Amino acid sequence: MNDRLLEIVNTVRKNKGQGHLESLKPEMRLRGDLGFDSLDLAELTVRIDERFRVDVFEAGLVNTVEEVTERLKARKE
Amino acid sequence: MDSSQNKIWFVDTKGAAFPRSELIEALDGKLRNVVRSSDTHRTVLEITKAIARGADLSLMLPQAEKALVSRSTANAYRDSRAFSTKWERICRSAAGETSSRIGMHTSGSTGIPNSVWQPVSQLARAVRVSDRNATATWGLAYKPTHVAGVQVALQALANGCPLVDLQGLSAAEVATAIAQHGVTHLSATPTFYRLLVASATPLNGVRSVTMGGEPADADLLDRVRTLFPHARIHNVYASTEAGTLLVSDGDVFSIPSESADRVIIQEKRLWVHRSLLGEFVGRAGKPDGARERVDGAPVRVCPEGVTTRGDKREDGHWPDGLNKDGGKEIGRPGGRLSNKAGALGANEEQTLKNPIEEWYDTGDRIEVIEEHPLRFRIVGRDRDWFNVGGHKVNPRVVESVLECCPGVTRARVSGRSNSVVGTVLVAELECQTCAPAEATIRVFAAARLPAYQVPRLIKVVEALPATWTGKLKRE
Repeated sequence: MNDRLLEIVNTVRKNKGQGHLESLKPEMRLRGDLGFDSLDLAELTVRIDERFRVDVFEAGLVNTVEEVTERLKARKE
Repeated sequence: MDSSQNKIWFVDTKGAAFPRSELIEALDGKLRNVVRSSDTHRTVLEITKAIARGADLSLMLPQAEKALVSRSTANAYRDSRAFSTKWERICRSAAGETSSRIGMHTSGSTGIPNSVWQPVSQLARAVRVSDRNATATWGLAYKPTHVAGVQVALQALANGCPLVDLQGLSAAEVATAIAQHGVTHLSATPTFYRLLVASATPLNGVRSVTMGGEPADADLLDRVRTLFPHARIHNVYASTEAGTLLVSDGDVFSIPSESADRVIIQEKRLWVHRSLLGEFVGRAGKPDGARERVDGAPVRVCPEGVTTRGDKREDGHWPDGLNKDGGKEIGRPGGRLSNKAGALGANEEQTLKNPIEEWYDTGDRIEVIEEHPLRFRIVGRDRDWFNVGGHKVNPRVVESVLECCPGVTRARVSGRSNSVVGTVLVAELECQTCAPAEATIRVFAAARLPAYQVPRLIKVVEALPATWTGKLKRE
């Protein structure tokens, strides 16, 4: 799951001209560390939804990579 | 000196104090502290200076950005008293005053990335100056180069209020800044509040909450009321072209008396008279009295075949006379609300040859709550249009740009519901044998469109669906 999430994050970053990330750390902040603005977060949500069938922002704000993965795990369970 | 002494102007969580700044001088010493020198600060300073001089100011990027940086802020010193003098004249005589004009990009009300100039007197129509308003502390959540940001800045400037810069902060940081700096008044999009309500505890110090730019549903309004238990909730209907037109408590609007003959409801949509629209300029910045599409081609403001009634005659009646005998439109003085509102017969219509001369169809659909007096709810945009984070997007404009991208033959843009910004744009493309990469198309579009108009998902398809007449089928 982490690899697929990394792939999605890198797609969003590539589309806005940002560099490739080798890995994601749980504490990484979507805005601060990944450099995502509201539109990028929206794109991230849609791409995650397409891949995992989960809207990670549906239940409220998500700030870090760890919170994203928690939402994905919760839905999977 | 008045009660606005010792108030703080620009604030962010990382800012350092500027004990005496250009802005203090520009406002004749009314304000003591300025925290954080930023683009926001410069922009408001430039607005102040322009008003003081009666000069025009372009806030259109990227030109404005360069101009703002290069201008000497020291000029504000000598203009300090001129601002308040000029502002008083603007407030006293909004209609007759020859004031500065502010140039801004529209947010996409017509879907056209274009420019509009508005006199400050028009932008200031919604500004209220009073002793009570002077006690406010405003949170600035809009860019000050956007019409809503300019209006918040003017409201604060006219009352000598502190202005707390909330742009670019996370929801938690916004909540902290509101509490820490005693923000009492907020104006932002429903998207802003949607993110804030998810992560903040009640903010008791806020007295007034204004939302606008996109429809706010009842659920969001309830959550906003919980977040700001002591605030009045206002819903504003405004556009870059016309400024603030309607204000409501909650989500139910009425047409204020000052706009009664210039804002109408027809065909269950909101129409605005040309006199409320600013002066449009083409992308080259040349005032030409008409709009241009991004490719330079002339555009129609309203859909083909849309109708209008023409100007009101000197006797106060409309040329078609319907408000005398039938009252088939609502919102006009003297007109009666009819059950047939918006259902004009073909023989009653006049095809609009040059729509910008008369009425502008905002494309916003309304639901009548009460007929006398008229109260209504704005239920959404024209069905082909999308609202991305408070910006209205005409898919046809985006498609026309994508179709200019080498390798792309045809495009269809649709919207996908999204919990962050309301709608995410999705583009489906018919391409030549060698389709360009998604990142290439994105770069191409981003160079020609505002960020919110750039599709975030791009898919290459074999063939786009068509109607039986061969037109592009829309969802």
